[in-house]
Amino acid sequence: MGSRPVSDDDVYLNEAVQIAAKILVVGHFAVGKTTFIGTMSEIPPLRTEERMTQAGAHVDDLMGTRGKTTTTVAMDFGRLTLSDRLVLYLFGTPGQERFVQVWEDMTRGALGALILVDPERLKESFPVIDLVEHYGLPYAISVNHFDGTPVRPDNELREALDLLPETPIVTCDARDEKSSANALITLVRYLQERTR
Amino acid sequence: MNNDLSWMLESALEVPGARHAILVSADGLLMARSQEVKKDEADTVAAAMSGIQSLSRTMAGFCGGPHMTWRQTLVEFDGGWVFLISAGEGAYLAVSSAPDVDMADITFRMQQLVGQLGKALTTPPRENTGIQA
Repeated sequence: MGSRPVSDDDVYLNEAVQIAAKILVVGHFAVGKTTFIGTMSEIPPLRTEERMTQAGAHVDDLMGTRGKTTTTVAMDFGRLTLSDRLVLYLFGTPGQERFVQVWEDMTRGALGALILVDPERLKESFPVIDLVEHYGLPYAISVNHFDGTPVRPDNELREALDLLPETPIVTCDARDEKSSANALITLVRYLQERTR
Repeated sequence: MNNDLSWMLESALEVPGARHAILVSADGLLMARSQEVKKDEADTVAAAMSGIQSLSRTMAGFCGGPHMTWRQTLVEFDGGWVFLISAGEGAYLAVSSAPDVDMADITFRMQQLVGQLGKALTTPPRENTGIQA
């Protein structure tokens, strides 16, 4: 405790200890989880994408999913070193409910979750938010803005998704490194504030 | 990275044909790796292993009953094998090998290693998990 922190970012972290933080990247089917992790990972991301087949046609609703032809069947994984002291291990879970067991296992050891939300398909985020809350994971909401989708004000989203006042809401484009990094940093800050 | 654990992993590679070994925490983070596996690759394989054991467990009912305990997952490639076993509470051990490895020998050696790792593994991995290269 004797040394003075160099910047705000250093305040929360133990001296000379690099922390591995497991973060879940979750969201409903086709919201952009795989894209997000692919954008953020500093190592080649682990992907388990498979072509979608006719068998899933009546289960997985493709309405408004913008030419999606593959879906994640197990998990995504990527790693991002945020600072000398903090390394994020990003675990993406499949969006469909039939994968709930994998989901449950993935929450083990996770510090928090980034919930990706499609502003055009808000209702589909309810089960995801319920699950994250069920496992007691703190989370931030990141609205994945695709081209041309209307921007909705935060208070409207907060109300629609029934969020607590302190739950952070950020906007990102899962293909864009800067805004996606901002979403993760927002989550990390929120997690750090909670533990102080 | 825990150097003592990494050193212990090398002993699993004494079996002829064994290639690499990694130790994974239950939450999918790398705890230790044998020398020839690169850190980036090991991180990814660790995450994949946690997914594989998770998916494997869901097949207990298909195998005979939902209460059966998962013990091992075997992955075959045209050029080799990957063996994944439980390494006590909260960890997994994965070893890869050449196609002609003595399977009984290598799984026995892995179980033996898990026994030896035992005490080291009961310490919480969180603070020093997969951190230094």
